[in-house]
Amino acid sequence: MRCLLDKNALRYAIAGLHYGRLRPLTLLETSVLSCWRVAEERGVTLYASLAAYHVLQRLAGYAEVRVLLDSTQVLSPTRYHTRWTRRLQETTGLAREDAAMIALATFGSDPQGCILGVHTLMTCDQPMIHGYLDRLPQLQRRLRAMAAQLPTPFHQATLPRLATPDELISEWVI
Amino acid sequence: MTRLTNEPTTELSVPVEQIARLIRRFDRRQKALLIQLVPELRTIRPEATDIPAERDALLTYFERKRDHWQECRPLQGSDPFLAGLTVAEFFALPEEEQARLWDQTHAEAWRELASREQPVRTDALPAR
Repeated sequence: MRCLLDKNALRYAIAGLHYGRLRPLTLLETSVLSCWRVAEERGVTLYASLAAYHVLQRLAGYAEVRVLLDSTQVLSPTRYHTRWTRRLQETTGLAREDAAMIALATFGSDPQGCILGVHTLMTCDQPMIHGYLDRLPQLQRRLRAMAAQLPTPFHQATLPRLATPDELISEWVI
Repeated sequence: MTRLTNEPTTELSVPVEQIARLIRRFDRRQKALLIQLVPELRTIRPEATDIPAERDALLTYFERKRDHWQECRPLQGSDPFLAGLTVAEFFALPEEEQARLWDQTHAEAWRELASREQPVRTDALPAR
């Protein structure tokens, strides 16, 4: 199982690790940290986008960020990422960056090029989840049509499941 | 994300430092009124506040991982963080502003990395 972490989930994780003993954790910080822990305990591989990885690298001198970098692998855009981002955006009306993140979950790969896409995208962004779910049948049709024209392994590209940390915890703990 | 829970637990949907930022803007009369409305503020000693066992276990899990990175130091409030702000300044911003700066930094990173294209093996494992 592979799970891509949304950039804001990473922010909540850093805040939670820094403030955890200084003040009460927020609900989102608790959810993200709990989900991160459950993922590790269940053998789920966690990924951060190449852009997030780039941002976190600048803060890698801090132990909290180092832990986060150590726990995640980087997911980078592959050949059809830009094209699928554009189609996702046209279909859902989501912001370009949200569409790019969802497209990365479909057309992203690790530094070895050994995987194509992830199973889930963890996000706390409800409008993004709803914008995606509202257009899921159309997206499935468009991806099927696009992927049919693509070479191996891209023709096997699939849509990710978007879920909140709490939903993922419920799923993974069962 | 603006609601505070009324439960006796310690989970809030707004970080306390954001509330503190608001309170610091109060004048003396407003602060006095706050103490009248929340009288237990007079009696609480910060060093005596307990961390619930479940949260303690969660934090301990990550602290053990953090301790492996001895060449790195834990974040301090005065450390430079993002967008020219320190850690304390950044996390004291309202959620919307934090999200905006965080998004902006990531958008810049996407632009810098736009030309990067990761090659994929033909036998790459799809997410099925």
